[in-house]
Amino acid sequence: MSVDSRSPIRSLRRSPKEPERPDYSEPDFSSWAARLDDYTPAAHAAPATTAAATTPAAVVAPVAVVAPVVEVAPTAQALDDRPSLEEVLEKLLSFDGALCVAVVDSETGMILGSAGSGVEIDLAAAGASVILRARLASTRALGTNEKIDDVLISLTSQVQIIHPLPSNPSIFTYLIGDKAKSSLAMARYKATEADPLIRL
Amino acid sequence: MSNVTESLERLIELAGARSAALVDSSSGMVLGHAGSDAGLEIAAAANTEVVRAQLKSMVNLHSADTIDDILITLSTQYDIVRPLAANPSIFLYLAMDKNKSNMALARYKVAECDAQLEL
Repeated sequence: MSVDSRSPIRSLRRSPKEPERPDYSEPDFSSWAARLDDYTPAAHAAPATTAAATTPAAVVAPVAVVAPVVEVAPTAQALDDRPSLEEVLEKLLSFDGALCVAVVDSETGMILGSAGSGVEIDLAAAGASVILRARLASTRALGTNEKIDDVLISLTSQVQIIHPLPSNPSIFTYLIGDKAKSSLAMARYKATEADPLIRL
Repeated sequence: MSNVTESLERLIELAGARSAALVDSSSGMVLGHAGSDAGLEIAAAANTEVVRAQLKSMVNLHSADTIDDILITLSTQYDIVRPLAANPSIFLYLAMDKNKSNMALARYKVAECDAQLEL
């Protein structure tokens, strides 16, 4: 690694020595540079021999490097035993004739996660969000407490399922399948089954 | 072939049916209805929004598809929205009690009604 990847650090170290500009006080990066030495795993490997003479901070580095790396490992493990969103999406995609699945925020129309292909999912999700919002607005206008369980849309060549999460009705799972190959009822069941697994 | 009133009367005879209507999605106006539902006008307007949103979405996607039907499951009710094959801006709307009705059968009946309807 070392000479190339260390060059940004060197430039950071040099910066305080640059002539001060009257209208802008240069931040003091010297403490950052020391910390970068701590967090760059290779900072102690090659530089220890090559750059030790010029950079005294590198001598301290080898001891400090080990600690942060060890600490990162436990936090990376999920405490929640539910599968990740990607895994749930892959599982959802297993219904017959599935083209595309996504988890979408209906308030913004943006996709939180998607899997599959064959459909312009960004546009389709935005359209589905409008449908859901329209329907939610009208149930509110009716003054009832009716919740939307799902909306099944049959087109000429596709079936689509919009399934709001019971825990957060503004987020919905969105399934698109090939009409000739998929069973609407099965896809709907899969969407319902995935509800408790979805972790956002 | 059958006229609007006959078609809607036939739909409302289904087990669990609450109300049936024929709605113009370009204006949201109810062209004909059967059954008693206080919120029919609002429900029709709501489904108008749904149909419009879906049509717009398909235009955005440059899709050549047409809408066959839209089934909406609520906590106590099923809604079936079916744009007419002959004129997709007009749709049949059937609201049913979730506990008393059979959605698959109702969906089939609505499709049949669409094929026979004469405006």
